[in-house]
Amino acid sequence: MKLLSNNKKISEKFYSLSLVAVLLIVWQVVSDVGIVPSFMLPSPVTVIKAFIKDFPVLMDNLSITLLAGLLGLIFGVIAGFCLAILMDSHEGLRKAIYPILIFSQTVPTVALAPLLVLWMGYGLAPKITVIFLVTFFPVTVNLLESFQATDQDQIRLLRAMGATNYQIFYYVKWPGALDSFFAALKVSASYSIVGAVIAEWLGGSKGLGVYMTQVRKSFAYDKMFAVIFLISALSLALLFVLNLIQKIVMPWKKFQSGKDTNNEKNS
Amino acid sequence: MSIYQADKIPILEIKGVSKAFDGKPVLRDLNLELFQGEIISLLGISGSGKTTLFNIIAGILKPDQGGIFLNGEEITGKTGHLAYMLQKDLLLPHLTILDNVGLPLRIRGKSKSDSRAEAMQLIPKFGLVGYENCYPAQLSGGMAQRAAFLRTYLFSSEIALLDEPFSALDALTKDKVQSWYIEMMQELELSTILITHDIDEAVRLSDRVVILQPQTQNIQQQIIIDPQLRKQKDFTLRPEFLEHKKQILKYLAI
Repeated sequence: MKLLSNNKKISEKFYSLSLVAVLLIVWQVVSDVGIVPSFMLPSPVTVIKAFIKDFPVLMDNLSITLLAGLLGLIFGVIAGFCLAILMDSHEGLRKAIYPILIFSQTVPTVALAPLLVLWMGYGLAPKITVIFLVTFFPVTVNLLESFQATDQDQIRLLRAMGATNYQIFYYVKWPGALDSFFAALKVSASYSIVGAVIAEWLGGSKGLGVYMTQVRKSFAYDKMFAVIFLISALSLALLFVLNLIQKIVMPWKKFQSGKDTNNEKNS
Repeated sequence: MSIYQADKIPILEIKGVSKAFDGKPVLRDLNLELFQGEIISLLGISGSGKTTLFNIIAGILKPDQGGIFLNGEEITGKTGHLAYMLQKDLLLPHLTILDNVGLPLRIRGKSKSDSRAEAMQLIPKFGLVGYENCYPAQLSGGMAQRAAFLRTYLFSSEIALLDEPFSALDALTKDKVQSWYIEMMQELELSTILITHDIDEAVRLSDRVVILQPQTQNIQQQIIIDPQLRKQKDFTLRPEFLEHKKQILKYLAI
């Protein structure tokens, strides 16, 4: 059974990798033949060359963006977690905060970022604030919905056993919300990198966003593509790490998804 | 077992319990006594207040009037004395079976290692050897109910409150788990109040079947089942079994 599922996974990966390879070949041909001028659409090989040439500079800028992204994400996740607990524990607070929370997401980040730069200067603070604003929301909403959807029978059973509110949270609500928490974390992690780049577009001395603005102004589109791929690779790497952490933190999940096949043991 | 001997002291007493929700009475002056080693089945149509009564016994709900007494001590509105078991096993998916069954001990403040050691001693008795480190998703419905039963027993070793615990099982598994439960109950000297919709199950398992009347919101009728007769293998095929069923159907006014 496991072998079959592994084979299925390998064949799925093969198909998606093959498609990527085909797209890259088409792109290379389109660029080489000159269907699209190469200064507008540099070929994959040119992009790779630009990436290798600028690698030290890219890494230098990457470290700044990554630091801002991670700090913003950490603050956003902590704030989202605390806000969800607060809103779950008190209905009045939930009703009061929820509309403000929704409103906060209607404000466009691009419009807010210059104001933050104006108020906080060109340092890390405005970047972290932008990232905080885009990352705390998914965590708060996902966690709150999971907390609210906890099986009431489960809570009643623990109450009958004399469990405190903390014990109910520790044994039932938090583990039950882990799946949603990781889903939100993955969304927020992607947002954090994009948020950092947007904040850097609007000001700053270093970072992938700043680098992007510089190469755009000098019409170096091969470098532009190189940095775009680096940002995508960074987001993918973060998702990979989070998936790995989730597998370690939630070892029971693999059995839940295969419950039907594992339910063969007789009573 | 003779239930109504004058010298017998009930281990659980429900005295004059009344409860209303939004002015609508659900239970009215309800009295019931549970004796050592007895199984009482509580039958009633949907909405007759069976689950409300369980919540009151478990201390999650406070009655408007009356009280609950465990071995003579009042426990009205107090949790931490009696736990119940539902048709859903309610095992926590992220804990292993050993940690799930030891959960009541952890809630009472015992350390993880002590809870595990205590739970481990009962694992063989409950037929869960080899499943200690499995997660609930790896167990069949019958095994999960055994684990849920052990968790209930580790919480309260005198009385089990069972709210339709067998209703989610398929017919064959249900039969096996019920027979196993009767054996275990006798071995552990456990007293039981069982909520059920299944008249056959009530007659087959119980010493006493009590009926919650929706008209009066209390117990007006009870049927005592002869324990000797119940032990007979063909009990469910005997005329006495059918007679009890007829009587119950009459009381339920179906």
